[in-house]
Amino acid sequence: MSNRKTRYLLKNIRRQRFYNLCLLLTILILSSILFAASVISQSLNQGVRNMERRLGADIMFVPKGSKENAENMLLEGSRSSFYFDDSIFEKISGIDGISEITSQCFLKSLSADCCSSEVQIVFFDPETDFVVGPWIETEYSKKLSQDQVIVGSSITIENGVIRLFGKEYPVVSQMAKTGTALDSSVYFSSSAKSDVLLHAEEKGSFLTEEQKKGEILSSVFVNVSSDVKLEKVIETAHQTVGDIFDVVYPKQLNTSLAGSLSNITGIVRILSISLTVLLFLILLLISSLIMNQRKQEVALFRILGKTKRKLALALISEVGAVSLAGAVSGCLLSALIVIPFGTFIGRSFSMPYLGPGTLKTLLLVGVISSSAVIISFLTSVFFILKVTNIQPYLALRREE
Amino acid sequence: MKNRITIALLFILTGLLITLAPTVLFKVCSTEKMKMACYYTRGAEIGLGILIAALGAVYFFFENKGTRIGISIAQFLNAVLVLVYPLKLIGLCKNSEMDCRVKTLPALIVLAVVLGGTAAANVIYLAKFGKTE
Repeated sequence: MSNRKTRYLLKNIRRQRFYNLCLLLTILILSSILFAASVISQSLNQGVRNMERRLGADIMFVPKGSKENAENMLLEGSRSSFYFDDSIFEKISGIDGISEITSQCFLKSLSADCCSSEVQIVFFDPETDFVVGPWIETEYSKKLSQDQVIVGSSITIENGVIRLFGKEYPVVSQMAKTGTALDSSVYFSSSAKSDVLLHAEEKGSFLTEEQKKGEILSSVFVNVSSDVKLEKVIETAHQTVGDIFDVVYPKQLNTSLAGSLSNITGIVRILSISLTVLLFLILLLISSLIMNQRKQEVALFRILGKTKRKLALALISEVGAVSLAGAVSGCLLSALIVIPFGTFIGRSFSMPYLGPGTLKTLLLVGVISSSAVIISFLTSVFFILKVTNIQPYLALRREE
Repeated sequence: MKNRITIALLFILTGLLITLAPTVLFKVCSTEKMKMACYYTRGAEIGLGILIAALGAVYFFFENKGTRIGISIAQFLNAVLVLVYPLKLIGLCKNSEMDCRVKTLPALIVLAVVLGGTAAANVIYLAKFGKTE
């Protein structure tokens, strides 16, 4: 558009200041709500999807009395440590019908050590792991030595090392952001367990008698063959190791999360549809008011020789420019709040939350802005055509 | 006069919010166990917030266009400082799950963008259309 045309467009917009401001504010408010709702529901969706991949075990055996702690740890990422004697792993792995089995051991770091807060240390067996392993493999595929660690995305590393219990460990990989408790954990190979516990004790960290023994496990994750019932495996485990464990069903935990998520996305969908209908109705009203107001002006331009087509195009450009400005600023204002406060929003819902990347955010701004422009075009085109088609003589006479 | 009142009020409000964000509205982490980096950032932001509000009050009393442009440029630089303290100069807790990173930092980002945006827009406005009152 040439400079002259732009100046003319802006001048026209300024002349109808009140109506255009109403149009701008309507679109700004509605597009900001739509943007926020879309970002929040998409981020919760992505977080739960990642959680589903994370909770990829049929059964999790934890020490008796630790079920609640284990569930909170999986869902909310709260720090916990509970232990079995590690002989349980051998005993359970001998049960028929188990297709995959792996173990993990949890430990909390000293509060002030690396991260100004406690981090969950997870010892896992890279050979058998199928729970955390897939996440790590995406970033690092080599074998993990005793001194090396892998850290979640929320852990800050300085100069490629992390300081735990007074010792520096080289970080070989930082995992991709998952929006779950994986993000604030540090992963060691299970072969490093005794060394880390030793350092912890030397640095004055309180270790329980169980931890001092070193031959401990916190949980055993099991996947069961498709032709075997979970209950059968649990019953056999009870017979083999006795009544020393509780059972957590990670996949079922995820089902309850997915249920809450579908409630939230349902509300967002209803909200979006209602807002779009509301936007349509308000824009219809504003367009009819603006065009009614401008009948005389359009008639004068027709008398001065402007064609119907040119006038219609000028009016459509005005509506388009105002709508686009409103929609883009609405999305940007909303992004300014929703994106930085992402983790806080996820925490308020008590659900895993993974915010969209830059590309996805820009795409969302594009989709919402173009939808807003299309809606305002649809609501105003009828009135624009009506006002440009009216006979100048009639338009002027009615204004008398 | 309209510009002086509106912009002065905006500057004062943002300054007060920058002071209140780390202390009352979106508090930094507790100092019960130990004082962490966010505690010192909090102190710096309190001082900066008061300075921004004071400059806002000063803005109201100056009729000269050049002075008002100067104050707006200073406010823009203050907005940059609001972000530089927690992100570079002093810092926050290292774990991104801590309160100072989850609540205080986003609030400061929003306030810094609002202050910086207002100041920059005001400089452009005054340079183009502003006149000494």
